[in-house]
Amino acid sequence: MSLFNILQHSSQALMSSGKSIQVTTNNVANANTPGYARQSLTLTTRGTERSGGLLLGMGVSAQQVSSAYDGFSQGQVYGRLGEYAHAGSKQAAFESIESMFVDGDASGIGSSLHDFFDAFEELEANPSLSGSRLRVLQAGENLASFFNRTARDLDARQVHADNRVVASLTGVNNLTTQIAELNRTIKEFEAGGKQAHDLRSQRTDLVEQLSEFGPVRTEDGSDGTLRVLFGGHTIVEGGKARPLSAVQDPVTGFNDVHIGMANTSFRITESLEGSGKIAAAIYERDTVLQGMENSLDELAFTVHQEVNNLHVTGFGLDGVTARNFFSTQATVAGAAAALTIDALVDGNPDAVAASTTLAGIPGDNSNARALADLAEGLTMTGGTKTFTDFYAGVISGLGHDSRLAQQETVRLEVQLEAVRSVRDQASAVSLEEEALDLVRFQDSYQAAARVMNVAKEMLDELLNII
Amino acid sequence: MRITAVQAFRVRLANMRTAARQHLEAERVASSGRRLQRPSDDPVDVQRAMLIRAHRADLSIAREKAAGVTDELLVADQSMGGMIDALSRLREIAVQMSNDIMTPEARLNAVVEVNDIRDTVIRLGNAHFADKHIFGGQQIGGDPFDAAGNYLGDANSLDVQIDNGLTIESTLSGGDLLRGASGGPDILQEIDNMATALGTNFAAGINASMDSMDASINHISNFRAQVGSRMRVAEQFDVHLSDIEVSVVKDLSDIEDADILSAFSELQRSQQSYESAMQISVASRTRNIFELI
Repeated sequence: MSLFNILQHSSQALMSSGKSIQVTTNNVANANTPGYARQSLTLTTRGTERSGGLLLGMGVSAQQVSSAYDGFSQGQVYGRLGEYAHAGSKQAAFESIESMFVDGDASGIGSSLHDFFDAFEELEANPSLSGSRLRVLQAGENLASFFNRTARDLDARQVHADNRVVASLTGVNNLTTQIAELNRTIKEFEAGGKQAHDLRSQRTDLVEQLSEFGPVRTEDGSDGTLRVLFGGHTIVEGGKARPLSAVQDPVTGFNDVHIGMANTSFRITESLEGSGKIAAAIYERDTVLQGMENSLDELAFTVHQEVNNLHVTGFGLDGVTARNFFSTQATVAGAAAALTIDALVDGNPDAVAASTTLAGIPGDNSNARALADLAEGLTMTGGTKTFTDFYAGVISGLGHDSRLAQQETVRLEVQLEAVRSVRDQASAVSLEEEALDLVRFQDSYQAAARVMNVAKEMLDELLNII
Repeated sequence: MRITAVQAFRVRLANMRTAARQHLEAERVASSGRRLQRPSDDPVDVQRAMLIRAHRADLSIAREKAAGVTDELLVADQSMGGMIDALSRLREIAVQMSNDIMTPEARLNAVVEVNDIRDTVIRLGNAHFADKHIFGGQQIGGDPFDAAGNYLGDANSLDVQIDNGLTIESTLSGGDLLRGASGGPDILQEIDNMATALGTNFAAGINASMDSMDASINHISNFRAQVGSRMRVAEQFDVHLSDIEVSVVKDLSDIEDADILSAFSELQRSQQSYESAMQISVASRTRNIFELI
């Protein structure tokens, strides 16, 4: 081996160590970058050369930068992340809806319901007293007002949830456009035989963000592109993204999720179920809020029907009969929002029918008694529950569902952390490891420099001989 | 096993979040003193609390009704007491005027007092509590007796249901009480008869008035005893409801309210846990290998 060879090998060792330090520096810099997979420089020997009867090594060369990306564990993260985002959104929705019934509804529909029937109890004791009659009207107005307000609030929340669905689709389309763009860039870059690790990391981060919106699956293409499936439907393929759109349902008035295909689109709402924020918003809108609204409508309709059935047969203090207490509702749907005191009774305490007979006015209280007894009547759920039982069941059901959502969120948070840990153990940056690598490559660099210095001194010695 | 920077960060963050959430929850319970604030705090107990609250409201209204009926019956009782006093005075007058030494003039003069007492009895028959005329049956809106003593009410009564299976009549029929509509003496007629006997100096009639006044007093006393019995039932039921209400309030408190001692212990524990999580996070940060290079 010549001294020039030693200088050359030392120079390559210096360069390799320098590149290794550069890769380590990049890892440290991206330790907290979302989607970043740890990179490492592959060093190989440069082979051997024959020198006389000996085979001597030719030093080191930096072969390639490789990434610790683990496709399988990253796929697990996408799945769990979608489920966790779904559960978290559901939990937030339940917490928000629960706020409408703070304190177990001590001051809402539940209390106004028995206050209404208690007012008939008072009327029974004092059928001619204008104060008792006014109290019945006020309690009725109060009950109707609570039903109206709660129904309006539920409606507003449904619209808000629907708006979130639409806004989420914009978010999805932005992400898929960026993923498609990255697919194009990566394909072009890697056509030259090199790996675009940083671009791939960016793409991983975008897909991870996408998985918060719905169920995501990915398939690696041989050309470096990534095929992304959203709810089982291809949403990104190569450099093209299929846009999601919101299409209004003519019956409900709310938006469904459609995916664009050529010049048309088809509905994929159901295929998003169980994962991501979009499905959670749809669940909140169509199941939780609509369920609450249906229950309140059923309650309001039955209260209105039962009270009217009795009231219409009774006589007011003015001797008039055949008047409804609540304005008539034709259908159960929308009953809570539309519940009002009938115009013939509203503001007219004498119209409250406490008596069952004309002759019994003003002291006959039997109709007031019958109306008060409705509170204890098994009028709901096919004649198995009182109004209060039914309503308490609705609130308790909401509490159960909310609690389940909380438990589900905690469970999925643990599972998400578990799969993230598996992924990160394989591919994330360990600062301790990088620090030791830094020391290791620095030592190599210093050693190579020292060898170069020795070779130079040897060369100087030789030159001095001349 | 490789421990990476993001892993360590997430674990620290998760621990701090969990501790913060527990601390906030403990703070909420301790500061409000209430265990149940949202349906999800305990869905079963929230349902029980709602039903107990409804029961408590029913008890409250039942007690109000029992108290109202008691007040009305008290007015009836006092009015009938006044009637008995008036009839006793009439009996005294009858005894006094039946004496042979009484002159026709004296007996004629006594008619004035008898008529005044008759008016008093009618006035007592028109007694009312608030807007409710107690002796009008169900015709509680106006005076049940006119000045001539004609009964304008009906034969019914206003029945108030205090609780399931317990109904108390809070009004009476003045016709039954003073006009003998369902048997017994027609008291106002008997008073008129007495006044006529005194005015016409009819000794036998005056003597007969003594017996009729006795019968009238007995008749009203019987009604008064019935009213007294109803009042006792209402009062006893109020006491019974009061006992139940105490028990219901306790049940509700057991379900809804926090045990303050446990709440503050939990608050202290969660605060320590939260502070520990924060301290550990800071301590972990100082053990960075780069600071040793």
